[in-house]
Amino acid sequence: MDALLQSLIQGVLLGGLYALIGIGMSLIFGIVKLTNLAHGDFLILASYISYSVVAATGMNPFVSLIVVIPVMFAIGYIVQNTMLNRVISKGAEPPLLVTFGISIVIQNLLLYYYTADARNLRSPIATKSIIITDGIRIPYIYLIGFLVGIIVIVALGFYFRHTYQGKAIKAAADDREVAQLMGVNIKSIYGIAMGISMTTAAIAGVLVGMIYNFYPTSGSAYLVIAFAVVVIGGMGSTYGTLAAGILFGLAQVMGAHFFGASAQLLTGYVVLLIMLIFRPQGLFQR
Amino acid sequence: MSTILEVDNIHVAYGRTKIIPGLSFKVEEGQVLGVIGPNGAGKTTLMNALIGLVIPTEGKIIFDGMDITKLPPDKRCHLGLGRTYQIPRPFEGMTVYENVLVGATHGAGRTEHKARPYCTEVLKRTGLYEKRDTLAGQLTLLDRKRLEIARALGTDPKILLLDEVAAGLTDAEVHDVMDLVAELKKTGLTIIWIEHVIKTMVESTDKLLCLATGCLLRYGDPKETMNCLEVQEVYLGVDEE
Repeated sequence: MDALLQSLIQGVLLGGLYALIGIGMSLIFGIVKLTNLAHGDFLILASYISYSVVAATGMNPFVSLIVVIPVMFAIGYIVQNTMLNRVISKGAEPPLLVTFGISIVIQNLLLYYYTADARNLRSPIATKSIIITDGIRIPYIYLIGFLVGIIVIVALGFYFRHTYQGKAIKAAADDREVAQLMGVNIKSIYGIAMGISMTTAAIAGVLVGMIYNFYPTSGSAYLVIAFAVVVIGGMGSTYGTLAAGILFGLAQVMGAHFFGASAQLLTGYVVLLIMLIFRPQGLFQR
Repeated sequence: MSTILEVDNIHVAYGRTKIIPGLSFKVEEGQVLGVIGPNGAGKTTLMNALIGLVIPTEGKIIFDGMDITKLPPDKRCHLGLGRTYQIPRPFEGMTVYENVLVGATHGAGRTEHKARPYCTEVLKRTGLYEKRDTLAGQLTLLDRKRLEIARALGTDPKILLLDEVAAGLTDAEVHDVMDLVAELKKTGLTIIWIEHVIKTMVESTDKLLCLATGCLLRYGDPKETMNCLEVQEVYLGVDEE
């Protein structure tokens, strides 16, 4: 019984982290109508930037976010304005291919600067747990990931609902042409949206770097997780992404619980496939 | 009265198809200019060219003394060009108030604090104040048309471009819209109004411009324009209205 409860807790907590991994991709799909194939690589880029900051200063990986977040926001804004905005009006495929190109460039840049060796952002907290009973432990780092995921998603919801810039982003997501007629500078708004997306990738990148080893090519695995979460939740749905993250996390961990550790990824993707077949618009889209 | 808008020999094409093969006219400040023409005459294309959704291949558009021919729509909005759509396109997930607020802040350059009383005034003027907290997606067609006007007014325009605001409305509703336009005219706003309902145009405009295949057929007093044989031929041949 304890083992099942432990799996349930772990699934939910892992789901918060998954939601954080997917939320930036979901935002960009909802606002720019772009599937960012480089999202996972940006996330890992943030892990490496944090790694460099930690190596240079000795600061805690969490604290390195004060550097990583502005850097990633700037990278997102610049990439959107100098590359993606140039091709966004040429149909759906060109920007998609540009993000694919960016993905390959990031992987190879990381390989060039950091080699193919495994890296991590381990800190003492990564191995500590809150002990509830003998059989139930809550790892701090997963709890932090879950809470941060919820805080980021609630903060984004607040930003879109209560700030005038957030409303302009919502307007641009709803009808790009009409938003322009209302005086909204679409290219700048898309740049800000990509900056926000990269901010969430920065936070997710530091958290996954504290839990798992990462390599220059690790981004692909996180792209798949982000994609799964976005598809299950419904493209562009903020709170849908949170629920989808938890569902996907639970599916994986419960799969491991009932069918063994090797079935963990499989059960998650079976749930994704079922969703694609029966509810391709996602759980939270009409 | 001074000229607020000058369209100087513009040519507009979609790909290889020329929709407007050279069109010139001037609009005076405070004037209500009606634009009529059968389907395919280039009325909406003209609207798109004025607002910046399509850039003319030749010619110039001068607004308030400034060449705006190549400016994007958001910059034209900042200068004072507002537009409504024939088929209303509200931001459906946002409230009526939020719909107006977007233009009042980003278009007119106000802070949200300063935009609030202005939005309230616009919503009262357009008869939407009571519905300010309703989601735009839940409005009736008449209210959606009102919201189109309210949203454009939120951007504080010098020229308001109306694209068939009377289309799809009942006679009583058309009169409501005509009253609203008359009220706006009293404020000194310049209005360019594309419409299919000819009766509305003759009663509500200062000048009427008739387009046919992208060219200017007639431009002048509304009644004289409608009595013109060429205009009647174009209309009777295509649309008995």
